[in-house]
Amino acid sequence: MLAAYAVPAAVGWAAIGLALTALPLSAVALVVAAVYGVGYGAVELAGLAWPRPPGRSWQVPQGMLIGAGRGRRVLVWGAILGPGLFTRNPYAGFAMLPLLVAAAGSLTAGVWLAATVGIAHACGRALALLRDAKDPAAEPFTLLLRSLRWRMLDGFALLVVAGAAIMSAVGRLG
Amino acid sequence: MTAQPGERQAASRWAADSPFAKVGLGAAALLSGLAAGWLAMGSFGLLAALAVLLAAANGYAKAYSP
Repeated sequence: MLAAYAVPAAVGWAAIGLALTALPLSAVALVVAAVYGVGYGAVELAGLAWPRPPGRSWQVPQGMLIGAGRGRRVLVWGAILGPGLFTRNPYAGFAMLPLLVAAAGSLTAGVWLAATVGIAHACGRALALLRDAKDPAAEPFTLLLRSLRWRMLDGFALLVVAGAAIMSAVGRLG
Repeated sequence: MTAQPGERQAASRWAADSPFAKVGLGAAALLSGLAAGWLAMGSFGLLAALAVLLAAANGYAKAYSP
């Protein structure tokens, strides 16, 4: 199951890394990452609903899964959810990832970092699904509360990344 | 007996839920990022490691998305 999630994610993200690092965006991406991290880190910590994190609102249609065998379900879920690029994501941290890939500075480093980011995201997603399959489903209130906690943690993580991006930008531009 | 939503919420509050704690912890998070970046002397390796951790946590946390 992990491979069904990780392989499409590695390929998809490597393509993104190739596209982003082929352009001379490194310094700009670092500055944008710093500003984005501080801004959305503060928004998520404060628990504000606006501005919403950039991303799509699409969800996997049930029609793609109804009547499908287990193998096809895993492939569809893996190809769509593994990379995380196509479906709704409530956490602003996800949009930070392409910025950090673009900031890599070299094509090789960017492609490797992007592929690793894709695999990490896919493995996290797959492990969460495996955990959910073992444990009984949480009630909606608990789910919502946990989502709010993760949003706050995402805000802390964004601020840490922003701090590191600021120092990296100072080192590169200064 | 099932706990009411208000009781569950009260029971599961974090210390970081107060506005003062949020400001303090947020500032600490930013400062720790600055300090780590300074110690790494601008090396991109630190940002790359943070990106991988952020991606893994994001994938895991997305399961809690309502």
